[in-house]
Amino acid sequence: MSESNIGVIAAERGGFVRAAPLLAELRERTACRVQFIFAGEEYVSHATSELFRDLALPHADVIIGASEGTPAQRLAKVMAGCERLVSTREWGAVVLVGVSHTILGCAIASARSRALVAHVDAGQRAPGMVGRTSLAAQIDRACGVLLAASEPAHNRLLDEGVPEEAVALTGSLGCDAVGRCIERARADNAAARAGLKAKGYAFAVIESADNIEHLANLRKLVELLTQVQALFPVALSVHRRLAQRLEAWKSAHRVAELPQLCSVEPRGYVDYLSLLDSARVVLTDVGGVQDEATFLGVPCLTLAEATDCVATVDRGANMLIGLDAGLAVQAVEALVTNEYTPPPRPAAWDGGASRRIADFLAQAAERKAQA
Amino acid sequence: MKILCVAGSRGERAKLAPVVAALEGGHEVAFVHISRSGQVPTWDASASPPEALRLEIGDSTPILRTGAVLRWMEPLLAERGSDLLVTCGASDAALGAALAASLAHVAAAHLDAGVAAVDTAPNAQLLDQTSIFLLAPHLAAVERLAHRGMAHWAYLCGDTLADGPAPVANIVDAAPGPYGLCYLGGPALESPALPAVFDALGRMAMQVLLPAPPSARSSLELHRLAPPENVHLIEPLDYVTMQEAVAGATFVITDSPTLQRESYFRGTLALGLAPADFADAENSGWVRPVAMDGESILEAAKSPPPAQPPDTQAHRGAGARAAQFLTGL
Repeated sequence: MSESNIGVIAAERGGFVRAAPLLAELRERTACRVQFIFAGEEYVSHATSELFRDLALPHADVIIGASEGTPAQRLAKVMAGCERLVSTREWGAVVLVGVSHTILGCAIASARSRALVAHVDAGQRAPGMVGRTSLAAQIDRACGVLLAASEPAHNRLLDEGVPEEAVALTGSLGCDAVGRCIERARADNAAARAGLKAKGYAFAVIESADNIEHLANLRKLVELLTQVQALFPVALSVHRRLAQRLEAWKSAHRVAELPQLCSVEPRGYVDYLSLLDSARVVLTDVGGVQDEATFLGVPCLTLAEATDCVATVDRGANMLIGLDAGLAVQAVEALVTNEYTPPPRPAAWDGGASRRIADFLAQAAERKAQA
Repeated sequence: MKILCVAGSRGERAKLAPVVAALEGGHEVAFVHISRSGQVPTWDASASPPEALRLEIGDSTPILRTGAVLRWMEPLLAERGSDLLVTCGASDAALGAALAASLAHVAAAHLDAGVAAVDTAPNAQLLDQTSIFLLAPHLAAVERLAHRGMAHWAYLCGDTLADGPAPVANIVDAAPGPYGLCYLGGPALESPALPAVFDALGRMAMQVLLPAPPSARSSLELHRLAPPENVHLIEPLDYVTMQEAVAGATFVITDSPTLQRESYFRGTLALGLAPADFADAENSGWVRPVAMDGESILEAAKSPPPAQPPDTQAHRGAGARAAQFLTGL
């Protein structure tokens, strides 16, 4: 058995973004034989998407994701598929990228194998009960190696009693992905194509179920966007689920009529990154966006009461405002009237996370071989 | 409040039963029993739940078993509109149920959280992690949870096994005179020391009853072990009868941590072939950890039990305390 055979498993957009630089780094190392495992839904639509093209994600070597059935049926199928894989492929390591129930299922299925099971972006969770029982925490608990993206995440894992030798501060793979795509994003100039002035708009990326799937919260969100756009132009990233909810709850018309709000539909990662990089401020509830904004030096306002991305808040690059329209207006006003100096990036957010993870896995494989 | 309690093994049923009983007064409670096919029923048939709340899962891999429970639990949670799921221990069934609850955004509680014997099982820490409420049987379990940063969510309710059925009769009327009880269900069956354990049983100065499920009989056959004259291989006993057998025994020899705890609560000396992680019982002398070799077992069985009966008072009512904690929050 070759201990350097590695399976990299990802299941959803955030996982694909982070898996791309890691797969590239691992595949450059000739000592590794790396397989990319797709554990999400609807592989073909992902594989042919702008996102995969922008990230230069290779075709999956194995697809274990299920697109049909109830959530429990899909999860059970992924777990069975992952168990079959780990029992037949003789991987030295399984690297889980992202946070979803599917990734949790793969963690549980892999944990019983001889492979070293690692979770990247480990330890990222909000303080308190929400964080303790979060999916991220559950995945971490099933994994033997935890690769933390930031110092607060690293410290949190140690506080939770994870042995020191099982944790490493590797930095954020999201930053690596940004680093690999930022030049193309700047050349892309998506803001100008959408009729927006560079640094002349707030970029809103809203995806969390809490904000979209609950009528009361969606109404608050629309009110918040209404008040912010009255002060400063807003580019709202509109995806299928948000559009459906706005339509279903009779808010689409109101949003469409807001004079300083323009809807944008980023096609892929480069397009999205271009809009993020050119924004004066970002309004979001997505963890990955908070990380990417901090890396790019774009101030971030998080539309939630808590965030997994503790490092961005600690650095002062991200402020939690919930769905409080008054707070949002105040914060945006301060950011557009004063010059913003980005705080230093969190430790190890230098685009070297893939390299550090690959090094760590190689060392761990060596230690295991010697044991 | 609509509550689903899920037990995936004999021990889990025993521990959950007092919680279910205490919840039943004011809440809509369903007690789900999940067992593996081929498992000998070890529960009093009269306590068995209706068919809709019973599942037999195949004797396949742990992941396939977990997946089977996950798929089965999804509609059950939805149909019943459950507000809370209570699991116990570390079985694949408990994990499958907890995953289904997580998918359905149903809050979960874990009984026997932080217990070391459970803690080392692959599923246990995940069950603690998925559960909002952690019900710990003793202080060592709370401390273990605290070490994992979960002190705020741990509640010391006591050991619910203390609330088990009171022995009503000595089932072993057939056994002339005092007897020892031996139950081997886990590590001992896979240990190369099994012949030594068996040899020690044969050298005991009394009858020894050995309820043997198919797994135990297979192991004995594998080691070509024939029962000595004083060792009686009997069919597995249902739960209540087993408790009566424990209560009537002079001592219990077992590798089951749960049975060691039960022996303590029934006032019978337990010789533990695997750690029980129950400091109260071990400190009292009623649970004696014993190495898996013949001489140690014989020596431990010879010494009389402590003069003081086990002090189990602090644990009585654990089921009611757990129920009150879960529903009073």
